[in-house]
Amino acid sequence: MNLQTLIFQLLNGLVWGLILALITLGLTLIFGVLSIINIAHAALYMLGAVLAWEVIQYTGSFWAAMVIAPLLVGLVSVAIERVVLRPISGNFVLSILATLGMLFIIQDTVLATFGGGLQRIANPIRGTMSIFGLHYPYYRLFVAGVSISTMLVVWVFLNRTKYGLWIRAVKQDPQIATAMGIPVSIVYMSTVALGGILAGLSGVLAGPIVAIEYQMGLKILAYSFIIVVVGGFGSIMGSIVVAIVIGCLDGVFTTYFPASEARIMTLVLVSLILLLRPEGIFRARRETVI
Amino acid sequence: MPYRRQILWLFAGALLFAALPVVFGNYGLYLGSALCVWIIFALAYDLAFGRAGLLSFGHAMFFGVGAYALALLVLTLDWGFWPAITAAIVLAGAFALVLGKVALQVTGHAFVVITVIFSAILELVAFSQKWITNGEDGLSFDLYRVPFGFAELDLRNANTKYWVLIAALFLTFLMLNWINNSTLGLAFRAVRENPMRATLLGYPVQHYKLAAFGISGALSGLAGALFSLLSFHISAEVFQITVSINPLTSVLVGGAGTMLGPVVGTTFIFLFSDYLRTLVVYADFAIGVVLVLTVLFAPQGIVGLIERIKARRRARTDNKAEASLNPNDESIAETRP
Amino acid sequence: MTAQVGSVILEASGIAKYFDGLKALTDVNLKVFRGECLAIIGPNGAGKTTFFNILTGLLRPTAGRILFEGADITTYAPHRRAAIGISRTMQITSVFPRLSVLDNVLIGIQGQHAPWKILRLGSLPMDEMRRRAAEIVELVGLGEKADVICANLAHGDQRLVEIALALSVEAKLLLLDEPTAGLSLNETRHITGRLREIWERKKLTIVIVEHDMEVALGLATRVAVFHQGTCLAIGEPDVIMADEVVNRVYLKGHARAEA
Repeated sequence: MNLQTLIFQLLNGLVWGLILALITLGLTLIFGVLSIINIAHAALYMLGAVLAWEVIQYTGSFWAAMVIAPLLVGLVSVAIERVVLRPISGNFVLSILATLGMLFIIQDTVLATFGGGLQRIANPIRGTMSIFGLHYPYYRLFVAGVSISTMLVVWVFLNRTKYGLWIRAVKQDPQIATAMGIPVSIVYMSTVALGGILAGLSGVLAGPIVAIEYQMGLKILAYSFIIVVVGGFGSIMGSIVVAIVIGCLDGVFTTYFPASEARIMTLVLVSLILLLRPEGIFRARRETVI
Repeated sequence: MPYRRQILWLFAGALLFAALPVVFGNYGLYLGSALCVWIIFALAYDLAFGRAGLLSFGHAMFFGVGAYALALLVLTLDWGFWPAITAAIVLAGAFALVLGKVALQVTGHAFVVITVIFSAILELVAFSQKWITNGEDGLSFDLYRVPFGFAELDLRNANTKYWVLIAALFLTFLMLNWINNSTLGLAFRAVRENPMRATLLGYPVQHYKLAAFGISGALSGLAGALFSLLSFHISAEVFQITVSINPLTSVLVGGAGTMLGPVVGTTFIFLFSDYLRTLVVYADFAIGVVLVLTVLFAPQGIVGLIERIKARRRARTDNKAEASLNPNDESIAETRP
Repeated sequence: MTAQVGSVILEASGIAKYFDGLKALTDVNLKVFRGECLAIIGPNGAGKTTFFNILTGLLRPTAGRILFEGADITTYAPHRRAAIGISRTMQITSVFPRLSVLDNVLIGIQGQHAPWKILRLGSLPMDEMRRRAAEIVELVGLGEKADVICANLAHGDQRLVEIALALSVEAKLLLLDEPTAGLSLNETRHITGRLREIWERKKLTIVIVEHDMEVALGLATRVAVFHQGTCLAIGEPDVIMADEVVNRVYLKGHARAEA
């Protein structure tokens, strides 16, 4: 109940929020560009963690895992897009169904190969740092750093490069984009690949923190869904902010309340936000015309 | 399909159900009983989703409320069958109305997410407030006396229970069929097809959405209550989001917005996963494949697929322009007075 | 077309509408007289459709009042306005595409006559409703296509269904938003003829937004000119057409029709 516990939990919440932000960043991009809610994204997060574990088994290096696993997940992501998402682009209900199916498929494939048990990845950065009189693990600070820098890189990519401009153009209006000569299908593919890489990366980063098992995606599924919408339908800023806020809220509440009650409070707050502003936080207010 | 023929199919279906334990013995009994419950749930879900266009990921809430209402009323207040079932339906329906009033303030994606959030909240509450729900261990109760006319049915007899379940399914089907063919059903359809136009024609769209949601919730509560009767036991797991996903997938695979769709879809998925579970551990994998294939090749579901085949055959024999490909294309001339 | 001056059926006073800094409408004052046909003309972006949206309740005005038959309906929900007799067609066809023409109109009629939808208390019998629906379908000239699914109709016929829907509400005031938009010359003439007939037979009050001057002047008893969010001028067609300001702002380049 003391200040130190609060700060500790807050930092944990912040770090977790940044991981969530990384996951939902990919999800938001995909939603913004393809108008699809990709439920399988949660499975990609899990896949990142599992593949990281496998890579570490082979190479013993966490850093190798951090590079290889996300790339592999990106590939899987692209495969999903070509086979499943391409034909149904834009249809909200069908996309939920199809990506749900992919979630099941990926989860059970992992179950068959990786097994149903728990695994842990060893903490690659030992030691703690002294902050505000408490010892905070270096690794978690590292995760925060990676998350923030990744988001910055993505921001720069989207707003300062030609390819980023392409993505933003397609997001605004695919038809006009095609008319301007932008290869829309390649943009779709790269957006999905990027989303997959981000999900995979967050899975790798989460590996040393949480338990790795084939259903670990389900734990973040609801939250990621919620964050994308409350953040504002494809608004990257929005989902990042909401993810961090949710992480921090969870952190603060769990200091004073048991885990379940804390979660409930966070969710109640979030639903209030959504009811007050259904277009999401970072969407320009639109007149309701029904 | 003309109304009279629908009733005939209904009777045929009921007979088919009755035949299950005869043909498959105890397994048939287990299968049929579970199917009754899940089909009622799917039909209830389709009213909100297929007919009124409300995509909800939170129907497990109403299912669970119905189940726990029955269990708790029997355990704590010693209520009998009829009062308890009625209470379960009413409570679930009331809950759906209250929730709906809040959730329907928003539409589209926000609505879907609100249902996710509310469902997640209720799930957390159910698992943490063990003093009511007893968490995963759940509650067991005794309810076996069903007064019926001058006789009394004994639910400890699995066959009797099965007849009760079939009757419930039959009545639910009849009721939903009646609603769908009535002007209320038409209003739901108008509200779903073109809410802007509906409101300009004088339909209070919000009221109809709420009505659909409420009825859907009430019938989901019935399904939940019956579910708890299957093994006279209910646990907090009933509030998990997977329970909400079941009717959604059943309805989509079977064909949304139709009467047979939820029936066919539920049966298919249940049989499929049950069968797979005996063969192989990876039932979810197969379900996933079914989902993906449905989306890619039969987005209108099984019923839709059949309608398309029928339409193509009709077009070939009639040599006219191809009739509308939509299975929901029932003329309002069939609307009952 | 002689102007039939009756009582005021609709009065919009001081209507303004701002969208986050964009002034769509500023101080619109307009009176519509019972039985007349008022055409609203003006360049794109002048606020005509916004005005209609406010009249039908799809948008709330930032300021101003709307009186319908004397009652203040500014805060009424859209479905309530339909119930009291304000009806509208949309600029982009908005019907029930998967239903037949007859069924579309039937929905409109049932909306008015089956208040308690399950119990059908105080409602008309189905036969009567179907008869009325058929009547309206005849009136717009789709009698032979009553059972055709709307999605299979030509664009021009779909616009007619749109009008039929607007009529099914037993409107006293019919708001038509560019009913001839995107139609060929023949279809336009056809619809204009139909509208005239409907107007005369049903003794409605019509307010029509139109870009096609021939249509507008052919039907209208009065013309209102919207420009940059306000009603610039309103009066008899000849007067308006001759007005200097109106000509400068809008009519230059538009062919003048013989009234």
